[in-house]
Amino acid sequence: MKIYFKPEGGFGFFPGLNKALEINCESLPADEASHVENLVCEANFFDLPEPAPVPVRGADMKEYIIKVEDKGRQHMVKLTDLETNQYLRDLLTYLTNKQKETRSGS
Amino acid sequence: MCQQNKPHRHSIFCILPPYILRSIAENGSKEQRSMALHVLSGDTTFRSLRAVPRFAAELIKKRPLAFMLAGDKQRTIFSANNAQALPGVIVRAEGSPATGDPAIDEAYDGLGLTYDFFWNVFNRNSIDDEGMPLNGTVHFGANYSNAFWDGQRMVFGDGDGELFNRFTISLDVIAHELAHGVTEDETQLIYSSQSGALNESVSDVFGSLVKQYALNQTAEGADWLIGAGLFTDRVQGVGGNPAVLRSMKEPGTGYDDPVLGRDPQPGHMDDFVNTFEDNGGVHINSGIPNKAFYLAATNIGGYAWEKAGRVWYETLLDSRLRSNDKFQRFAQLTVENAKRYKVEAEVCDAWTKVGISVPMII
Ligand SMILES: [Zn+2]
Ligand SMILES: [Zn+2]
Repeated sequence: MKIYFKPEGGFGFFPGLNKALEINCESLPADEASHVENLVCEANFFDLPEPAPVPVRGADMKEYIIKVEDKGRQHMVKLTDLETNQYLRDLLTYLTNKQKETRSGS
Repeated sequence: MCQQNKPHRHSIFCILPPYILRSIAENGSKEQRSMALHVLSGDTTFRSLRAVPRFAAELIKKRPLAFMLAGDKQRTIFSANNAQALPGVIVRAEGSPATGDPAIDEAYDGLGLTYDFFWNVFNRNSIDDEGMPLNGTVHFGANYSNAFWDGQRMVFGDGDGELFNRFTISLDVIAHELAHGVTEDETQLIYSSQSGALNESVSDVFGSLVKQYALNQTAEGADWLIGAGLFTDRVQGVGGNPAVLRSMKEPGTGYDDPVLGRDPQPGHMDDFVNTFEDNGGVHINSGIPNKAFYLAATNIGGYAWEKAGRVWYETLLDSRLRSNDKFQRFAQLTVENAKRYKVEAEVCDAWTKVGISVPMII
């Protein structure tokens, strides 16, 4: 399973905080890989709706693009900080922390 | 949802004017009272809204006088208690004393100062000009580094403490979020590419003006910074200055830091950034109209809200402004609106200096 993650938006645009992250589960430790794969599965990721166009309301909200490739399937979703699906939130937390590790200088 | 019998010209969300709710809260039955209080406190779920209008209509007939005067503000601050759910629980209502929690009290005071600015300077009664209650949620999320307008309320995170302090720390950030509500109510400038950058710039303009008004600063005396104090001292600024989010005077000089990167804002059309990121650079290219406003205000001199601010505000309300307009058309309309105040040459010069030439007669 491969995951592409990109945080976007927010009150300002900070080049260093918006870098894309790519994860290949094959190169993760086995328990971490199964944790991530489990979250994707429990969230019914491949059945989630396609991203909506630009919302009419709201401003400065963060958006998170998550794209997953697995067994020939590919799907993309956009999440916000108001996501209520607990598995997606856990996945988002995991990816956010992972992305933070890749920041330069920290 | 309640578009069929809408009592107001345009609404961000379906809610009765606060004075009606207030009178229901004071004079209705027990059930009606709790419903009105529910709505007043910002619970706008469909169920509670549907129930209100029936008895509200009776009440309007019975009590034609407003209980709440225009110019009265109606603030409610909620705490999300570090969860990511809205609205949270009420922690401070209008008229109640300071809590000692800086995030709560800064949100309360900041929304109040912003309301007062719009009322005193533009005679605008809240976000929708109809006395819409001001709802703010603080302590949103854990170490959450953002503030946003969700279409109904202003939401503030505590910051991660590493790079960001709490987002209520800068008055201009609070005012920026409230101004998004005003823009959404008036023109719905589409939050993408140039119209989105205009939307962002309008929020920075009013954010900065609220701060200048509160500090009684002239255009020359103001710092024109957005988000001063928002970064921790670990974030590196430019030229020995503390890091800030944005500079309207010198876009691109807010910060230059190993973790955050460099402030990407241009201040001239020659440096316009074409990108898919950030909704097409809405927080990036907003530097160009930001700088134009700064130049217009300093060209004119004195208090920036008196003429330049008024011209920008009237442009936002101008029916000729369309939701997908770009910098060029917005600039033309500011010049047009500047004529009423005899500052069209100053405004025109400001846009020319950022690379947008506007004919004086349109
Ligand atoms: Zn904004
Ligand atoms: Zn309505």
